[in-house]
Amino acid sequence: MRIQQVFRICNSCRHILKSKVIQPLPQVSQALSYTTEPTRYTVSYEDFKHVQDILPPSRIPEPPTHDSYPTPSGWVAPSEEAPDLPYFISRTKFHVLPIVEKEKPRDQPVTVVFYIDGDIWALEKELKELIRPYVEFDPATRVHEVTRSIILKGHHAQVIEKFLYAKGF
Amino acid sequence: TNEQMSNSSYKSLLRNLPRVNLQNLKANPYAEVKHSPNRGPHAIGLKNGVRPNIKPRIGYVQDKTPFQKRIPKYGYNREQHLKRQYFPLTLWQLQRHVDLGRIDPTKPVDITAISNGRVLSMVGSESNYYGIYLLEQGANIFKAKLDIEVQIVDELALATVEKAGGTVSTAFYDRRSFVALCNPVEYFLMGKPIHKRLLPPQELVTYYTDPKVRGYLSDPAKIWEERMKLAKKYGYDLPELSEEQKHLMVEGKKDPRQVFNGLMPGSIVNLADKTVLVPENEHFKQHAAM
Repeated sequence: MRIQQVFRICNSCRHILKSKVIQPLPQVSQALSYTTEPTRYTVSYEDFKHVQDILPPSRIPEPPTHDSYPTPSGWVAPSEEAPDLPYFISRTKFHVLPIVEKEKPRDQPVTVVFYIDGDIWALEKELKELIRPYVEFDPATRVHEVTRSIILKGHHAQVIEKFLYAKGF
Repeated sequence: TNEQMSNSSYKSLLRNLPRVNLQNLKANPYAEVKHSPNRGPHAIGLKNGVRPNIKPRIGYVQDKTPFQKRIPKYGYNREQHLKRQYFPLTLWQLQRHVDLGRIDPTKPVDITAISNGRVLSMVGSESNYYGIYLLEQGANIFKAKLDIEVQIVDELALATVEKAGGTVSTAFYDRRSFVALCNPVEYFLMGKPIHKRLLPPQELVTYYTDPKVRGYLSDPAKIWEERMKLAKKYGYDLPELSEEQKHLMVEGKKDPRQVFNGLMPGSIVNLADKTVLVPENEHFKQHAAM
């Protein structure tokens, strides 16, 4: 009796509850069917061609043979026979002349020619005369025999490149 | 006034003033101000062999407003986290890499081709790089016939590439897609399904719908008109495009929601078995519908 008294619905509430029809809740499984379904997939070999186009090469490619040199960007292929000179300059792994322009500390421009075999001093003499018209004072060069390189004061990469391409290196 | 007042004048002032308060009184400018000596527990720079919790905080300057408080704030670096950067790529660099065989002119040149040919190293950079900026340096020697896709183009660079017989298009890649394209192997090795590329943000929509820049969201018919206008402006004959190039322009190689050409979002690439797993369920197909 006491429980009935506690949970007794008042007259107005009873009227409201009678007029409304309580609808059942929607089934949860219908909304989230994709979680219960297993994913079906196909294994395709044809689509992998699109992946193979994107994969990077593992080796540096060989440059193609051009009809005429220099190419539009100014690159010249090395001659097939070594030139008849007391020194030899080999190309880098990227098929480019081994000349680098850099800035030493306190704004000192410097050009480095490396990978030199044979008589380095003969090449140093020639490079000095090559650079003389572009330099205010005596051209400053330094031979580093351990690293097989010549270090020149100033930026002279273009002039040296032209000189070495003409020799056939 | 500087003159000292007599006692009687003080009294008369007091009588005449309505009320004496702090606003009526003034400090003595000739008084000696005693500064406390730099000794004791809060002394600065005097404590040798003493534990650091006795010293004052970093930046404390005794009896003065510190430097970092004196200078007012100004928004020099505001919105820095929202700004985008692009890698500069000159036409001379492109031509040199075509001459050396590192870029294949028969295939389309996009971010992956440039990354694979080691033209630019776009890996390990800061987190606000969104693509490549094609610059006009080297326009006088450029002769390669390429189909390029970059993010921003200069007008003269556009003209030189089209004069040589190539096509240019600009496309937007969000940060995640850009990183995936720079190093696709690392992306595939993660083993996750390919994501959908995002559309450009509001401020870039006007750029990528502009045919003058050959945007990927612009009308192909208008791009055709703009090509002729640019040829007239710079004074060169427009070369004829091949069928493949025309197909590229009209239908486009990639969908705007696609990251990799030919691979649908939702699929997984299996590098070990050399296959691609394509899902078959309905909701995956709807997601990949783009």
